[in-house]
Amino acid sequence: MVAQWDTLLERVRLRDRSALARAISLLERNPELGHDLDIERSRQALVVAVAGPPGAGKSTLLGALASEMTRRDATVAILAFDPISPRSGGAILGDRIRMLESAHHPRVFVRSLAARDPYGAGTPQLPALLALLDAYGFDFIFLESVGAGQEASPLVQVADVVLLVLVPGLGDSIQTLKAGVLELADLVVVNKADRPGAEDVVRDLSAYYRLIAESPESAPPILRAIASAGEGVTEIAEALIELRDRRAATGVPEQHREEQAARSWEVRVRHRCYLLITELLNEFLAEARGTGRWRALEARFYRELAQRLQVLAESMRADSD
Amino acid sequence: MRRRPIRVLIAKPGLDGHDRGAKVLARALRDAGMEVIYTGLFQTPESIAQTAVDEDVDVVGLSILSGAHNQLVPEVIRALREHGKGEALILVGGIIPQDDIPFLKAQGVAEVFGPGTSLAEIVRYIESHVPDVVPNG
Ligand code: B12
Ligand SMILES: Nc1nc2c(ncn2[C@@H]2O[C@H](COP(=O)(O)OP(=O)(O)OP(=O)(O)O)[C@@H](O)[C@H]2O)c(=O)[nH]1
Ligand SMILES: [Mg+2]
Repeated sequence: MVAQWDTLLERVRLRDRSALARAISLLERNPELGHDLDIERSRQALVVAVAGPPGAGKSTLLGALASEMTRRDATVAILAFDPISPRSGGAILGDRIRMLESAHHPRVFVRSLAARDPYGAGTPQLPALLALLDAYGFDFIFLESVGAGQEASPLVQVADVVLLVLVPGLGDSIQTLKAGVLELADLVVVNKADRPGAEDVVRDLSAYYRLIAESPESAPPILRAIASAGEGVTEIAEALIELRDRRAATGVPEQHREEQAARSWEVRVRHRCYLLITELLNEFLAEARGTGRWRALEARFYRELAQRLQVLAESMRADSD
Repeated sequence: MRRRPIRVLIAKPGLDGHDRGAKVLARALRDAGMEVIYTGLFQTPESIAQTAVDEDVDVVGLSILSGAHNQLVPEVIRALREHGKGEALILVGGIIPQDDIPFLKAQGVAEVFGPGTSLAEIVRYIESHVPDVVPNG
């Protein structure tokens, strides 16, 4: 398995697209393969988390942005997360259908992923997935999140830049967003500017950022777009390219790098614990039906959990040799 | 339980606006725990193959009600093989006359499902024909 993984990684570095596709699958299914990847990440790519309410036009915008980037000779990867059905664990991954015009371009790679955890990051392997895409050599990596995106979302945590997509007619939802992702946005797009109310949203946002920003420069730019007609996309692409160039010029500060590594670590550990507990809980719930001895069952659950954590710890020890 | 969910691409090649069957099937497969990628109408064989590679699917399902299956299916299969994705389980559904089925199977189609097939039967077929192992690189 490991030898095969190394060959695959070699092919990914040579920009073999099918090797990349296969490596993502392997990584999703075998978390241990990612152990060394994430920490060594070189971070050539600018990682952009795209957040916004359902139906805001995130996928449509990403499709248009990808086309715009290829015209500038940039390479683009898009990881598009969609929620799973909690009952079956299955999913219809529907973001790609909005990106068909760019999805088959040789410089664009789109992968649809099922978000298997409540944080909408899909997988504890997210940091390692980013490292893999980075190894391939993409200039931009976009992460389309599930739902509005929250402060705690791993997609937001691992990203260099947060692009927030809002639309007219959200009513009071700007209020509800306030506490979370508005503060984290590096760039705000008011999409569906063809609809009435777009100017109101821009005005509300500007007022809000005037209020909270320490200086006018620290407020994120607010851009208008009609993603479905490709309008305003050039400006967004230019803003992202500028962010990337600025970072390339100054380099990633050491402090920032450490912070990224810490966050990647947090994302991985948090999600592994989540998956471990959920899996075990499901096993216990299956056998719990009809039992009257809940306390005993709970005690056994903790004992079993401890054992599984022990196994996990052992596997890490073997790895660090 | 399976080690991993089965990934399925549902595609509609050619000029065929009938998408009801494809959508019903997509939902049934999701409810059976699979990850379904639906690409919508009017896909070319080339784009279907590229999507199958990028999404690394186990199953490529073609829904064809236009009558052009004898032309489209071999083109899709050729494109899949050219992209190194010939090992995918290839299924066809829609309006396919009985007489055409041997030809399609000779091309590499694993099974053909016509109108009225129960969704549970399709789910069972896929589950028993996709191995539950990690594929080789
Ligand atoms: C509804 C319908 C329409 C609707 C489509 C609505 C839509 N958005 O889907 C409308 C009115 C738009 C329409 C238009 C036309 N239609 Co029409 N339509 C039908 C009809 C009555 C039912 C199709 C349907 O939705 N069935 C329900 C779904 C659930 O069943 P299904 O698609 O067969 O899917 C099942 C299986 O086949 C299988 N399956 C399907 N796909 C897949 C894929 C995989 C991977 C798997 C495993 C299984 C699988 O699983 C499903 C569950 O059992 C059929 C007749 C019929 N009885 O089939 C004609 C029919 C398909 N239409 C026909 C024709 C000719 C047309 C038109 C050309 C008519 C015209 N002259 O304008 C246009 C063409 C439109 C276009 N752009 O392509 C012909 C096709 C003839 C042929 N292929 O030889 C049919 C057979 C009618 C006939 N007897 O002549 N149509
Ligand atoms: N009027 C208008 N419609 C748009 C615009 N951009 C996208 N849409 C439409 O909005 C709908 C949703 O677009 P998506 O791109 O799927 O939105 P999304 O945010 O990715 O949605 P989820 O992934 O489901 O959260 C589609 O029907 C698009 O065609 C726009 O600028 N104006
Ligand atoms: Mg989307």
